Amino acid sequence: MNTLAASGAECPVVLVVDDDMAARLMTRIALEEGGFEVLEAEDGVPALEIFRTHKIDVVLLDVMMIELDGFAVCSSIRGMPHGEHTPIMMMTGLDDTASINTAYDAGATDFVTKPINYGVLTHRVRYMLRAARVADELRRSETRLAKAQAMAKLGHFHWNVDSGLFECSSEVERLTGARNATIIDELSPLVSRVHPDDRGEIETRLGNAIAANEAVQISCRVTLPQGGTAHIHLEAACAVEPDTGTRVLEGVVQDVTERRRLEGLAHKLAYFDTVTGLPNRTTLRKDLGQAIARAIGTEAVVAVFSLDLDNFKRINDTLGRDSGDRLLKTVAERLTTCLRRRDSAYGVRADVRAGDFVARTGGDEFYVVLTEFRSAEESAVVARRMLEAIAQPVNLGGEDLVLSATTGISVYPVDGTTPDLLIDRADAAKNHAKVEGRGRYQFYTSAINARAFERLSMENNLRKALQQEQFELYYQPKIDIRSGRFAGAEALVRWRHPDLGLVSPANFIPIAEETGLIVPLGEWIIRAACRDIAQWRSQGLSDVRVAVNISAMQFASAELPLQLSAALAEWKLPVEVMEVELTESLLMTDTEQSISMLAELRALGIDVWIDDFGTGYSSLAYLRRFPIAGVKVDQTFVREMDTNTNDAAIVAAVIALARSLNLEVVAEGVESRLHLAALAAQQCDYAQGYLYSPPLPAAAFARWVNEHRGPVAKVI
Amino acid sequence: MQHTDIQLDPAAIAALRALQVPGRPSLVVRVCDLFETSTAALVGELAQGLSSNDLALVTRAAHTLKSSSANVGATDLANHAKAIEHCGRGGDLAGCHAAAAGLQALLEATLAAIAALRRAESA
Repeated sequence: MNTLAASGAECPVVLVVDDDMAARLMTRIALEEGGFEVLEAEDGVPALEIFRTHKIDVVLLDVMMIELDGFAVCSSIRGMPHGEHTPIMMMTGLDDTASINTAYDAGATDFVTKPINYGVLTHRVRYMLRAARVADELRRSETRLAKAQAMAKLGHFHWNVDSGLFECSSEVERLTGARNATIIDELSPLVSRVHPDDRGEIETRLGNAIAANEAVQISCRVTLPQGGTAHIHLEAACAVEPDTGTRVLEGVVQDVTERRRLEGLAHKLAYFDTVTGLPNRTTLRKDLGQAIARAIGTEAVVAVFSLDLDNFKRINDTLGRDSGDRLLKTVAERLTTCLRRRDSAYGVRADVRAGDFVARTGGDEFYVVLTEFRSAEESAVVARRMLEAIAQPVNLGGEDLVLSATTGISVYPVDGTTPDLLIDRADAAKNHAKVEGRGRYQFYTSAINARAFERLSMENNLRKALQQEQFELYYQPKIDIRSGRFAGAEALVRWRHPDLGLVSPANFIPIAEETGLIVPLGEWIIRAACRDIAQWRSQGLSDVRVAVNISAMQFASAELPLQLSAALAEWKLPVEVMEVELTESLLMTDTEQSISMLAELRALGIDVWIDDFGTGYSSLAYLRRFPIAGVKVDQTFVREMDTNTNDAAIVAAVIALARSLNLEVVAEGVESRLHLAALAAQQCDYAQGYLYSPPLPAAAFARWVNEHRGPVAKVI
Repeated sequence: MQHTDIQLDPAAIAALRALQVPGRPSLVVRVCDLFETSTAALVGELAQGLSSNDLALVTRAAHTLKSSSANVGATDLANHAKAIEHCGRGGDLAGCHAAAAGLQALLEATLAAIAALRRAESA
């Protein structure tokens, strides 16, 4: 006999249930010879127990037993775990047809008549087992397929176009509403839920595929009965079936809603700014390119606005990123609104022009692209409107914040014909506008281009200057007006360029501020002043007190007090030799932070003066809270005080104000004895200016101090 | 009825021989043993069922006797048992009694044939 065991697999286990011991014996011998393992039970009850506790592959079951007959055993097994699909062969008498029917009703897989032909029994059992395995495999494969299809939200359908037989899986039914039916000469069951905008096209394409026996791929929206829209992808092919000669449209339908959503999200992340939802730089360049392409050969011009918020970084740093983001959203909305209002501003049309858009490319950098202008001048109106819109107060956390923005404008075709060039030139115009004073708009000109180059080379030169120490400190003396004696000095930075000679601070300080080079430069100034003071002290000049100017970026850095004390310690200097001067606008930008920094400096023992006083917008309330030593009256007022009554009044008012707050006053730009007399009359404390000395290099300054040990110039 | 010359069905015996695994105890002998043991019990049950008019007991004993007789090729005995079973299933107690007539003699003859078969097999 053949043996199954030859396959090397585990022996299949057969449970033989029969109350005839001889029959069990013979069955066992036959099956064991056939390669099966045999378990025996003499009645139904122990049979069920064995089935429950053993892995049984096949059951051979006698019908007639004492306690529990074969039918009852069979239906019990069918209800047991793993028993649903186990092959069961009932052994019945040949004459007993009623038993055979009952056996099938009880769930028997097959039957064999007694007396059993043992020669064929093993073949019957083996066949039954193989069939069960195939069925099992099919079930598993169907389950896997169904699971895979469920996971992929994939459904399939099969439609015999000629016979009309339509069969589909539940997913197809869920998505399209089509169900197993006979469908003849109509596509409506498949497309009834398709979005009305897509339906016509899809019917045509499906119809064409059927007519031409071709494949078709369709993506469309469907409206689900429970509400909501799903995106589906349908792939189908029509072919003639060889057996029947009929046409069959066979296909799959997949729910791609989630994929679409993710694709949309990815697209959004790649092409749009996440904070404002505006196009990002990639989209700006692409859409600007399209706007240019549309404008080619027409009279229309395209305007590109590059726009920055003034002082945004400081707002972001002080109020936090959430507030900064809210501010950016507000600006985005305002700019977008300006686009919408553009036409009504001219009273022409109130619709939005398709090519117009706002983009954000990072930080506080916005771009606005306007199309279909007839002249560049028109864009100036929009520029003004945008700056005005941004200047409206923004309420952030209960506080009104007033913003300003600076914008540069380039225009296609005159300023450039590519997106990159137009963007660069709008940027250059904006940077130029910033230098000229913020809160403005500026059209690009070729002069700006030249200036942009100049600035770029200036920036490179500045970096080099820092590395090569091309800077020098000059010192201008301060005189105590009452005693006429020397009372200290202000340190002023000069740049001695190897080729250009002395470069004016007015030319390089703004660039140093813009590029952040002001920070290392400021550090250098502090150290250089300390070095000079130490040098003078070694020469016996021990009473020189120097005020250094601190920039906004230095003042905003928490490291300033540390820098000052480290420089003083490096040259073993007492703290009294150092003072600092700050502009009032710098203090007013973030008053709370200013107060805490001023307190830190005061704690160190460093006096702070407010420079250029009278040019900013100091609030008296704050001035009282600032722990400062005094104020310096800006030289523009002092110089004109003898010819301009307004300036004289300002100087008088500043001095009076300072005195009432117990602050000392230094007048800068004192150039004549007349100035001095007037200042003395108003009881100004100190004077600084060409009347006494211009700013001098360190060595010359030391000589000047030595030569002016007595009163320098007294009021007559 | 005389059954002195009972013939066991050679096909059934051949089927048993076909099942014989070389080197193992003779299957024919073992089946003969099992037949003798089970038949004694079955005939007892059958007699008890008939005397107490227990139709179910009669039918089941007859059914089992039919199968075990067929195993050893005792065709006459199997047929006899089948007739009793048939009556039993039909609820015909009187038929059972009638069909059981002569069973004892047939049984003895069959057992004699089985004994002869075993002797021949053991020799």
